[in-house]
Amino acid sequence: MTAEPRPGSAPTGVVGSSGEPDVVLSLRGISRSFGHVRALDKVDLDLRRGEVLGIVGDNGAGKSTLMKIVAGTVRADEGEIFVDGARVSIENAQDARRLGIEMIYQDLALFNNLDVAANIFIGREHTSGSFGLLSFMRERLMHQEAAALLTRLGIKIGTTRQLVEGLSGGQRQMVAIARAIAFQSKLLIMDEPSASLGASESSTVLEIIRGLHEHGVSVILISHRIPEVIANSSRVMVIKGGQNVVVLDSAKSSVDECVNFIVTGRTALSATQPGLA
Amino acid sequence: MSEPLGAVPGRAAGQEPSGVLLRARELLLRPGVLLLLAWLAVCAGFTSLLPYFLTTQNALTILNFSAVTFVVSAGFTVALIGGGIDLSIGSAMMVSGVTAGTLFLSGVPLWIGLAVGLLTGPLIGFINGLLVTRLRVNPLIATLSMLFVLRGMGFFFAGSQLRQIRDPGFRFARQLVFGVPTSVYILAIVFVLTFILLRYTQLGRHLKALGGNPAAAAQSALNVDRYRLLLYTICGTYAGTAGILLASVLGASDPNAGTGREFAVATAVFLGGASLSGGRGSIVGTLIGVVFMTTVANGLTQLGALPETVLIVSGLLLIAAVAIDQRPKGGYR
Repeated sequence: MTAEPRPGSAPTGVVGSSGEPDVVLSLRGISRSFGHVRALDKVDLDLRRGEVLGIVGDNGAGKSTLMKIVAGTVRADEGEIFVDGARVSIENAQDARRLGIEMIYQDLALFNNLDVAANIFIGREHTSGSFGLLSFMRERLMHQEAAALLTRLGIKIGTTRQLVEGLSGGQRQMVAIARAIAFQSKLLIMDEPSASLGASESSTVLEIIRGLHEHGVSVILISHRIPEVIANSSRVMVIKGGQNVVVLDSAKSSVDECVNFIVTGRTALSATQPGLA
Repeated sequence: MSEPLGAVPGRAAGQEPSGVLLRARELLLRPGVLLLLAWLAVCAGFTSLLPYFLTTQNALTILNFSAVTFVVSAGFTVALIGGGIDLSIGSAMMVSGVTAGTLFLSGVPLWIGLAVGLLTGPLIGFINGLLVTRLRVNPLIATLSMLFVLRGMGFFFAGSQLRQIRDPGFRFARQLVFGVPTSVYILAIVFVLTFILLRYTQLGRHLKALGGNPAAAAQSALNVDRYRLLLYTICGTYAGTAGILLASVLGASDPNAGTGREFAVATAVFLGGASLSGGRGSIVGTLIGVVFMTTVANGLTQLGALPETVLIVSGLLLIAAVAIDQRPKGGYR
């Protein structure tokens, strides 16, 4: 059996695990209800530094809600969040960003009418002078830095002066990645990054995601494509009905095994027991 | 990386061989370029028909007549680029002009009257912004309401009569400096400032982002409501400036001033490449759009056309501008 036991099966007892230096993000006992629907029920998660952690589960399993809580666009009803071992509160997207957490949504949130560099630097432009919003932008510097960033990440886009509307789906995805990690973020959450891409483009995008650990960035990858998640992550976390099912070691797991957990949620039943104890 | 992303079919793959043609097509589709060509053609036509069309004097006349419309159009352009719209600009122009005129006529010093009149612009814009951001009224409806409210208030406080103001200081826009009317200098200053605002400042960049994709702007931690409030205030400032300029050109306090100006502005701005869907447009395009419209009116009038004809042509041009704007761009929208 390749499945590890659920991390922190007695949540309050193992909070100390967040004190380990190699854990970037720890979630303990995260719950969230929408009306009568309990979308998340005491979910735990540990993200190690530099790893790609896949999160899989059926539609409505709570993947997106969990990630929106980390990204600050949804608030948890209960539970604790630790970043680098310190307990934090994430009230909004700005809080998350300050903690180095960036989320790339499926729609990418790019500006078609702006060029590549402008998209990367939006809201954080280099300016000269201190006239607030009327300060002049240092365009050349931004283009240089944007080009350097793209090169560092292995992203091939002709010129940073190109409008984003003229880019292919994969290139757009990569501009979104570059923007997300341009400012010392340490955690990148990606929601279905390959959903709208062709085979060749999604393999290029996934290659860049796998390479992000070299830049000290840890990644949480949400996807419906199970083979893709297993191939590109170090561990896969399965959730079902808003509860932890299992965390699998990607190198030792098969797609069938993973799908089996997603469908049956087999260990979910036993997983609820320790919480009662 | 195994393969450059450019190799995706239908994208960059086909671009290499026909790069020059594509570059030319891109240039042609840039805001203002088609319009500039059309304007040159119109100028050539009028020049061949009218002996006095291509003279410095007529050029200055066209610029002089363009000034008021251009100043208010510049504000309208900024509003559209930021994803807003302001239909109250014509009424706001009247309020600033009538305020300045009434104050002057009641004995307040000229500069104070002009300054107070000017300040009604940003105030009106700020109110528009509050309606949109706080009360969440649709901008079209909020500013349409303001169009009527302001016009009504103008009549209420200033009566319905035009009152002449013969003071040369009040009529500063008519003064010649080095043979060029002051209003043309104002046009030039507003053009340069707006160009800098949109092209070089962080505010201009953020307004473009807001107009291009409001949801993404919010996700990028831009304070969307604050920018919208600012956007309408800026647009009102332009309208206030244009109102003072118009009052000065007219040499009068006129509660009917600026009536229907929205239409001339919209025509010129849409001709210049701005879009109702936000994020697009340029001050260069708007300048060409305004000058184009003035040139058409100027030439047609010299040819002896009736004002009705000019109206018809203007209307048709508006349709043409919007039709060009609505053509599929092949983008990802």
